Amino acid sequence: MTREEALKLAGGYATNTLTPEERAALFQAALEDQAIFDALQKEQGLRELLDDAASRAIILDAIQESPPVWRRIPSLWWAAGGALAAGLFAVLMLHPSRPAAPPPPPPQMSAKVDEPLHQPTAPAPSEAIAPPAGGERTNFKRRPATPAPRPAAPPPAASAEAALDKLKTSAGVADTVLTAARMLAAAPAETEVLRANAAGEFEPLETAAVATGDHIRVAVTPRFAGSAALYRLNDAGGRSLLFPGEETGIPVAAGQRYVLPAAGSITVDGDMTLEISIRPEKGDPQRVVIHFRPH
Amino acid sequence: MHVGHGVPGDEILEKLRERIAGFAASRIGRESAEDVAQEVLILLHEKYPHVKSLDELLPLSFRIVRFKMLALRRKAVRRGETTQVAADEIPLIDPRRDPAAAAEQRETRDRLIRAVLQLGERCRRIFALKLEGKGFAEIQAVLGAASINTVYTWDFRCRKELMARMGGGWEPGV
Repeated sequence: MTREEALKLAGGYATNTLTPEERAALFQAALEDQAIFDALQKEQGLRELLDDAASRAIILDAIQESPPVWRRIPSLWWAAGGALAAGLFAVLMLHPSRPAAPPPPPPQMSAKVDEPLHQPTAPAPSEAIAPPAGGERTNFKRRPATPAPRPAAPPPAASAEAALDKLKTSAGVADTVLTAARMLAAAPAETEVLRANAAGEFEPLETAAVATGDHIRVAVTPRFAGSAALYRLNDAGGRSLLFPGEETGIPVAAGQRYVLPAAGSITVDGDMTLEISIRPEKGDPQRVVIHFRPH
Repeated sequence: MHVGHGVPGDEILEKLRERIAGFAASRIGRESAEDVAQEVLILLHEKYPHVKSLDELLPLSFRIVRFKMLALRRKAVRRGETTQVAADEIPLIDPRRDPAAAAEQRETRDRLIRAVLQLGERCRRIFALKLEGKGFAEIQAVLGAASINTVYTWDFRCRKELMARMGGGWEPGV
């Protein structure tokens, strides 16, 4: 690899979007060439900024909300297409095996359909763990805030891709909506919020809306083996570890369901954002962010 | 003492030391740069002996070097000193818990947003696609580029312009 080629690859380092092959070639080149090493070292500040889920989301939102991005799309067409895509998208994502199912009930917390997280293609959980009844999950929004797993990770199922392609063809949906859908399909884990009922048992959120003072847990089914930890994000861009007590997290296996925290619960004390960080056995951690807007 | 002699990956660590010293020397002088390089290797040796693959070692080293350079800069600004930064001071697990680092991160983020919004539409689109996790091959497909080399070139030029709009670097003084 020439220096010029390596320096062009460096653009994927900060965003952590290089393939394993690109990364290996770039790192080897950096070890041999001071100019390439220096270029990557200069990227480290940006890399750390973009590794932060909250910062990445804020930047992406700011870019996508800028008027020139949408200029090429007639506003009326966009509004109509977006609404149609959002509705179809919600149905596809929330009821992947039941495309004819009716749309979910109105959300009780803030929902943003283009920032979903329910993953229709995740491996089946172990048989000992039954999926919750019902399927409506729009009363919170989830966003995979870090890059989708590279080719080493399990790929999204063909059915989701096919459905999205069909959606694109039939509705002419803007790429941004499709991008959000593909981010969803490649989310590192399926997550589900559980709330303690009067008997102290934790039930899926579909049965009731989260309110301030509720005690909740998060069920996580990772798509790959590694370790998982639960954090709370703050407005300043920082985060505090909620579970477990060590940053190393708890070991997790692909397709198995885990409840975080394993004991105790998180008390909803107003608007809050949780982050589930899942670190594969090799590579950088993948994150799922859940925003709560309790009534 | 040179950490790494006699252990697996010795050749990689020696090259890494040279690269770190070379980078630091362009910013803080040769003698201090050698100290920084040695401190980084000691930290890798003592606290991260399990990190052996280049895939993990290099990003970790970049992170340590960046923190040490930032810390040196802060100390120099604050007290006019360039004293060593103890390895144990480096909060590698979560630097965002450092209020000063968090403030700098917010500032960089805001500068970055302002700069990106000044770019042309294609550049903004490429940046957004990368933030969404798309690799170069996926960006090629989305944008309908003739080849992946075209995307590499677009991205390279866009980043060059972006960095220029940010004053020549993502963060000042690093």
